[in-house]
Amino acid sequence: MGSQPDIVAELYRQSLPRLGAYAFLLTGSHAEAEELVQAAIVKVFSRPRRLTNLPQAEAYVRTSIRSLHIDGLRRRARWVRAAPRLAMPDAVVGPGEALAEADAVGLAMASLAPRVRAVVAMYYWEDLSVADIASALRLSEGTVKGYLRDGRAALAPLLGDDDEPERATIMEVRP
Amino acid sequence: MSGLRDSLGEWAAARGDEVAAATRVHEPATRAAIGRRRTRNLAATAGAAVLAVVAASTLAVAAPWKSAPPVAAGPDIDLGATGLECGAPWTLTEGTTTHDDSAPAYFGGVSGDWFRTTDNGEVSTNPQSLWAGYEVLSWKGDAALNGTIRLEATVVVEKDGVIVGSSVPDEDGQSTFDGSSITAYSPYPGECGGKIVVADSGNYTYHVVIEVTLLGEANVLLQTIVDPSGPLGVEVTGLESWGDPSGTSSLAELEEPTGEKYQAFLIAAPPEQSSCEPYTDILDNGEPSKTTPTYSVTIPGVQPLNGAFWGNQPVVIIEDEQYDAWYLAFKSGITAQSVDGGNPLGTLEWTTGPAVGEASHEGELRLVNTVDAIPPGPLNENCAFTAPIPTISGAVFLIIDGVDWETFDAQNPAVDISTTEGWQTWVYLGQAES
Repeated sequence: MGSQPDIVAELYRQSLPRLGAYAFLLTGSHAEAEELVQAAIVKVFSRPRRLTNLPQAEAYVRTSIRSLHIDGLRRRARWVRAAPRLAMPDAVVGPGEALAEADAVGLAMASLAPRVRAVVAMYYWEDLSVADIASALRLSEGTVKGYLRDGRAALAPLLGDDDEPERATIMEVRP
Repeated sequence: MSGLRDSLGEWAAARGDEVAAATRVHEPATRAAIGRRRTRNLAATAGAAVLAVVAASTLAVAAPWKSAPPVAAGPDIDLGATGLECGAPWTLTEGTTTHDDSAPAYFGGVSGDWFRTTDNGEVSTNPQSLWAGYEVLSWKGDAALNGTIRLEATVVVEKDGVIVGSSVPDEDGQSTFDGSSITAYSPYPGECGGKIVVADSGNYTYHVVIEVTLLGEANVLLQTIVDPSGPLGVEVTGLESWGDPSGTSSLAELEEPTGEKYQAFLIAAPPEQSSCEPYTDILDNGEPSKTTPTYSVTIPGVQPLNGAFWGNQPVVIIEDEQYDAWYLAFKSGITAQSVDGGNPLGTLEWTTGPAVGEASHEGELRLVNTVDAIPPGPLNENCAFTAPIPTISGAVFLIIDGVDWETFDAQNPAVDISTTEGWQTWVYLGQAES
């Protein structure tokens, strides 16, 4: 093991469901999640990297999924600001999406604003702390908590309450 | 545990399976895209460290094993695909070799075809042409099994009786087997076990060799099958630009520094950008290229090149704190061909004061990451990076948000730059040392 082609194959065999789930939570769309995962894989493996094992590679791709998605949110926000009269709804829902959303949780997730959905995904799936999410999204911790509150409000009736204490960042080192 | 967390996880996991299934369909196209971008990135890495031209003398020529009419043979034959490395003669003939008499009880044969997938996802069967870097070839087949059987396939490229492309010795030979279907990805001519040899575009023959193993305590090798759907003759194009970093590539040839003199390039500053890696994007887009204007910059005291520049290790230390140079007045940053785990741009400042984490400093002029350092151009503030001090490799560039026009004009009298606005100087400092 160890050479990059092996790790790519392993990633496809073993990690795709987890990466796909994270991308779906972030985007709320099968098509966008698929594109996001593919883009992240291409981004990670098209550069020479010392990726020696699957967990390391999966972590890289997961981080890349997050970065690409945040980047996309930022681009979209700029576009909406720049061209308000051309602004479109979040996404045009196609037949596949309609099927995907044909469950209550899917509908609830789809109803969340993109940033709220991203915060929910990063908190509940990637296990990032509020502080880490705030740093990644360049938001205040209060805003992140507000988004989390909105997300919980939409999802708790369907999925149950969140009674765990908030996680804190143990150590944060920034350049 | 949280009810919401667990429930959301279960719900997302089901969606993840669906996304994964859809993503796997496009695996060949994704691999093609990886190959294309890797080629560009690899080619952009100066020097021969990444792309190794493997001399014929270094190619392993293992004793080839031969395919023959069905014979009973011991189960301990270790084919190991050692005869399928680049440089070995292609001596196998189409057909099936049976290594254990029990084979028919467990294995009913395999059938399949060659498939070409373009980077926009179009698939065709048994193609006659292949565009290196943009299209990938694979062999896909279905097997009739009765027992716990494993199939492993290796695709090789042959020309004039010699193997000139092979995934061996990569583990698994880049084939996947899901219990009934097998897919083997094909190397390009010149692609030899992860190394790339320059190869000419032209006609090549692809072969697939499949090993059938009965899994158990002994892992009995039942059969080897050569070209179950026949070999494939293909005209492969684009190999020169795919395999040769300096062939049709327009990338600049980087010159190692001479004393305190460094090769510098005139690069357009990134525009108001949306990417998290605007400077990496410039490199990815082929800069500096052979047509990028160059001039020389004198910088004393450049330190060993490593990722600690992103922390508080000075890039440059000049003992004379009164040292004066044109670049002291400009914002600066640093980037490298490959920056793993951190912000691709390190932000720097010329200062006699403290670096990040230092209480004070005096007596030297240093180019270093400081609390007040301003990046040399626009940055997307919404980007997240995982490590403050990354690992870097490849060419390292000091980015200066300005140009020494006097020196540039003197060294480039024929170059006419219409405006002096929006240009940066990218100084090639050398290859990263860690």
